[in-house]
Amino acid sequence: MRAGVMRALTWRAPEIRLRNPGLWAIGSMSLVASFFIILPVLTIILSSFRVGLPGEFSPLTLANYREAFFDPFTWQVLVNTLFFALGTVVVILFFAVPSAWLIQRTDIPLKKLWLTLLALGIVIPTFLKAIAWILLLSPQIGIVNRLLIDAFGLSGPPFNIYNIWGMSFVQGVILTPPAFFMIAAAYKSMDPSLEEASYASGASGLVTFIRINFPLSLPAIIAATLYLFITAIEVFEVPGLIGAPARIFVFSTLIYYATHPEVGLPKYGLAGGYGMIVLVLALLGSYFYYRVIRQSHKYEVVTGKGYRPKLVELGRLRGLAILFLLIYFTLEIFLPFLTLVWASLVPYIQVPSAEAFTKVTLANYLKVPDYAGLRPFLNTALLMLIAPTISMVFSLILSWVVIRSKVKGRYVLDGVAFLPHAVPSILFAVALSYLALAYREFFPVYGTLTIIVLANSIKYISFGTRTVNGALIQIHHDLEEAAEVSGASKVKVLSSIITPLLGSALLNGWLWISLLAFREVTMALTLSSPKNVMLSTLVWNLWSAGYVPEAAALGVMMVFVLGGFLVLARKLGEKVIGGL
Amino acid sequence: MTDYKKASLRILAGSIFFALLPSSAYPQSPEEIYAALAKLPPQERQQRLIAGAKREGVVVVYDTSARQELREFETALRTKYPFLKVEAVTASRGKLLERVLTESRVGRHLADIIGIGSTEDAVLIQNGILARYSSPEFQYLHSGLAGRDGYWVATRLRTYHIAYNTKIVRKEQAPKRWEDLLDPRWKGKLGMADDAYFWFGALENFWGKEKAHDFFRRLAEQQLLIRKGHSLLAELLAGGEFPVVVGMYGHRVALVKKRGAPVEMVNPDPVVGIVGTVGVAKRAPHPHAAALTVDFTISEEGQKLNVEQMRGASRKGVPHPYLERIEALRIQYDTPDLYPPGRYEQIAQDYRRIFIERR
Repeated sequence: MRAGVMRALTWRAPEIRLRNPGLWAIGSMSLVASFFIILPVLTIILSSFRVGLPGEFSPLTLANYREAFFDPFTWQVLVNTLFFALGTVVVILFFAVPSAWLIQRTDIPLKKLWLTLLALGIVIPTFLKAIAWILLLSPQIGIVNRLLIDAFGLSGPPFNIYNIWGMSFVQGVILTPPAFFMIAAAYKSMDPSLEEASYASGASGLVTFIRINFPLSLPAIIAATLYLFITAIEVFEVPGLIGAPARIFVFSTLIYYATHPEVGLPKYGLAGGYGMIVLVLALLGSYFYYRVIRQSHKYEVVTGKGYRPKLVELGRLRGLAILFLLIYFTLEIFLPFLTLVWASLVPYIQVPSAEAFTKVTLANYLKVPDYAGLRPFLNTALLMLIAPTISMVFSLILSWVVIRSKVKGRYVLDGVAFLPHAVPSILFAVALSYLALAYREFFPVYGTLTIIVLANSIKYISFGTRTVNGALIQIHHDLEEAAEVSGASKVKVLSSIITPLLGSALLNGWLWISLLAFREVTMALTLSSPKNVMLSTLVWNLWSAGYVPEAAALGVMMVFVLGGFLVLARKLGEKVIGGL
Repeated sequence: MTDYKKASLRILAGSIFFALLPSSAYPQSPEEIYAALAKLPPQERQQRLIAGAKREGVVVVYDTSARQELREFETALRTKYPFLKVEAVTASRGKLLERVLTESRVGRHLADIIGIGSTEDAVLIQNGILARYSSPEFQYLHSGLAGRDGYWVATRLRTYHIAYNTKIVRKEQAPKRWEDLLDPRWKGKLGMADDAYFWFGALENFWGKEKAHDFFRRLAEQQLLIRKGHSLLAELLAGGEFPVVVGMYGHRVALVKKRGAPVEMVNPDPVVGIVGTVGVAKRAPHPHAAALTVDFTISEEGQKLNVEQMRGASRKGVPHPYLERIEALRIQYDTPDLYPPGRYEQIAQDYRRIFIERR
């Protein structure tokens, strides 16, 4: 092995061309993935040039674009959207980068707990979290405001959630965990020789972080920033619940109102027109991202030499570091979760008081099995197991082609992998639903669990490839070359060298997609039928029908069930790949 | 680029193919069956209907009601007809309408009963998706609540009111008429939903567009506190986020009030009512089960479910769940004939421009 490495270092990398059968397999898998991505996206683009429902005959027209772009309101909305997305990303980076470094690269205690908490937060549906924040920070009834006014004798509420800062803050806190997991993989593997050199020249842990770790993790950070910037443009719950009262409209609000009229037909064409702006922004961002990963050799830190990096000792700063994480989790989980528990115990939403405590009841929990039945639990479990598996297999293959092969146009493939994220979920689901209906003879998935699984598998390939790209970039070519020199095929290299080295990134990606699929509600609602009810759609239905305490109770139960799932997944992960 | 072209051609070809599929999959259409049934004496008609429904065994309901409300409905229906299984597709109004139209376009006829609402019925009738079915139960309904052609029948009624938090507003201070909301003392204190379109439309019907829009514009000057959705609105009213809510669903107020929240509603003149309707699909795969289910929905047993679910009954003699002396109130209902295609879209646009986007 060592001889192989030595020889490989003096060899030029042989170019990878699609010649042998193994590579054909990889190539055709990439094509299959691209097909499933491009077909719905194409349907959306086509629909933006039509009026009426997808598949309805109408001549091609620019009417949607005229309606979308000749309205000065759209441009005002664009400005709002950019501010909101930017603010959100700033909040995300503020929390995600330090926590990734703290948890992966320092000797901070209780790592497993932090990691579990990071994954657990996603279980609480976003709209319930947003509502929890309204109950905490509303100027009229916000619990935090009330407490502060009473404690310090203030004349007015110190916080007001209904503005663009409130929106960005809540959205940023909610979206930090996915960013953490995208970035954490990069911090896990750092070339220790660079860090040691830094320490040897007398630099402190912090300086080493700023000068060495941070720049080395740049591809991962840029990928996360870009991914979440686009997410922030697309998400609706927080802008709808917190922005609308302040009359701050963003693209997702426009798309929402175009696609969810209270009555009447959705205007998918118009939504598609707005969606194209998001698409263009996303593709511009991807181009910027390629330019970074194109110089990928700069970031290769995992070499044939022992790469398990040493942990930074926090020393006296340990208390401060723990405090930082505690503050974050208080904002992300503890406060919203407590609010949710409170909402599930009282018959209607009210500020905690002596009187309110007399009304506390567990009755809402007892009603849940009645409303839910067993099916949603089963469906959700299947979705959580299958979708991330499909998604990660394709992500691994696509990322490998993009980062490692010399195939012409491989960066286009990365753009394709980013497409599902760049189009709004609602439009993506509508397109899939139409395709399933139109081709039901060949592909009978309309109204089934399969189509929801499929939708999630495709949608999260963007997330999967971002995660794998970031980790793959760091693995030095010499390892693969060494294997090839020793006679291993490309497929063997991918399965025996790359996959184990990527173990923790793959498992994290899998787990995270599983959780995203668990929480996903927009696509599941659009594709729903009596047979494929999910827990996420059930909570949403309960809430919108006015069964508010019951919805909260189900939300609380979901947190406990998923908590168990996470502990189990981590235990399993430890057995399989030796920890996360 | 050729890939793109090919894909779009395939979609196009697929759509043409499905549009041209033969259209008669059943020996007898539901309308023919109903016409034959109507000629029979009541008892024999009922026997035939039940025998047919037994053979079919299932009824597929597309409805906007909440899932758990449909569960309760299913339980009640199965108590009477244990052989009948209910498969329900629930979604918001727009989604459901879209789904029905798309399914019908590609020749996939899954629904037996379609229950969306008045403006949608106009679209469904226009597209030939609803069948004519005049139930013998129609005679027991309040007048005007069943379509003359039998395309639709109102099965549940909802109303819009002014609601207030009794901890903040005393009963005698609460606004009584719609015009009272314009009083300067309510400035910055009125909560409102982002989509109370029917309330808007009904007042337009009642006052005429000019007077109504003048009222709406002045109301918009009150710095309304817009919130998304009636669930949130009801909870926030109960919690005290705002003292008064404009155009609030009566059943939502009644629901949180039943849970013990300090809320109350007033009945301005007119109270605005919206009707939930159902109709049988023209290509219903289970026509007997569909008719039997519609009959049950407007029967006394079916209508009593409304009361438990906090909705008004369309059948005479069934008490209203939250309105006392309902006969003394003037209620402006939004029956399908008031909403020719296109009117609703205009209302939604005006509503958003006046109240939400403020431009």
